Amino acid sequence: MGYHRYDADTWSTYATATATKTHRDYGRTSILPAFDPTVFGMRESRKSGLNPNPTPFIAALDVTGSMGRVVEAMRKGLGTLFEQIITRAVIPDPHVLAVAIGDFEVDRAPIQATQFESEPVTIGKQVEELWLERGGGGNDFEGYLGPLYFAAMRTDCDAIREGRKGFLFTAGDEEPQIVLRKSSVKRFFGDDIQRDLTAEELISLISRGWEYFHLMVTEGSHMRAHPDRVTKAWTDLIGQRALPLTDHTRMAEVIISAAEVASGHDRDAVAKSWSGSTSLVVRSAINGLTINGRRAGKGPRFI
Amino acid sequence: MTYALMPRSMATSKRADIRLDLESIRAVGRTILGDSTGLGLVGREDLPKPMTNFLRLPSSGSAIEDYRAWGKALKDSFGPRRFMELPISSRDVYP
Repeated sequence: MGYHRYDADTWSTYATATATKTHRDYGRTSILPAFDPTVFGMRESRKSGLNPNPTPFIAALDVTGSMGRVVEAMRKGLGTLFEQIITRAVIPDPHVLAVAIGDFEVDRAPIQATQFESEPVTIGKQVEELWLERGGGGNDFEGYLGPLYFAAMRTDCDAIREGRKGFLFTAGDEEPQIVLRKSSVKRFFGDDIQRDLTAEELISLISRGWEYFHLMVTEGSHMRAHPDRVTKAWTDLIGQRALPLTDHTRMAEVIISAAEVASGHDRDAVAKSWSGSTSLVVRSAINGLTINGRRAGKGPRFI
Repeated sequence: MTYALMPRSMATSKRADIRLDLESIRAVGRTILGDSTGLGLVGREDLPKPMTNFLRLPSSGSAIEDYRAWGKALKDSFGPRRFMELPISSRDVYP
């Protein structure tokens, strides 16, 4: 997928028509089979005439409890995401795929994935078809490892084949999931694997082909109640790549900014490039990103 | 390359253990197939999926368990072990 190109007028028409929509308007009551990893095989990000150097972006969003509004904020920010990536020439030819994250222990559909798309209207319409199950349990984590397994095992991207990394962002307000169980992989992906996979193993696995960041949604109820605990858990796991997101409506700008820093841009210059309150949100998110050396041909090292 | 194979805990502790050897073995397999990351092997229809899955996923941390899993991956990929004639002469090897 991903054989189209961002068009400002088309996005404007779509954004105007859906401007009053909220996450409460998402009408699905079960997972769309097309988004079910037990149904589809691979998600592909391919080169095309319009997008000769596609860069895969995965935005994986917690849809448990009250977090559905983050999905809607992401949908509304898709225009900004594409427009700014192209305008700022951060990376070439973005291909964006959205993932909805639930709880692998208690939810019926803890992982849903759209297609990779190269323009915001098509991906926006797919995001509207996600099932916001609004579940989740009292286990202090959501299925944040699902998107990592998905990126590593169920995507086929020309960029990665050519040695260029994709960008994977997860977002939520709870602590990291520590283990992805073999039984969960079988049930929700349909894959047989040798054993359970730990968070550390999955992060090592995807780091071969993806720049991974987690956005800690500080407005979420769980993080409001336990900010230090959540921050420490994520920082212990992925270091500087755990980014606080203080305003979920500015998620697109934070994603772009993290990608810019990961691509070698100066952190302070990136923060200053945004205006007003957006600059403050971005600075808060990327302030801890300090590049410690650079791997030859593979971008900066944050740890 | 070696640093890239390390689990994060190993990199931060600066103390290598058996996991690095096991990860290196899998990396050799991936490199022989033409993609040291393994992520590009995913769509290769000319390669058996059980074998590429083994090479792409992390090691177990146990050499015995990894050898057992490799044996299973080979069996799932190519069927049970069997003798078969390889019609190769010395001229093929030393042209």
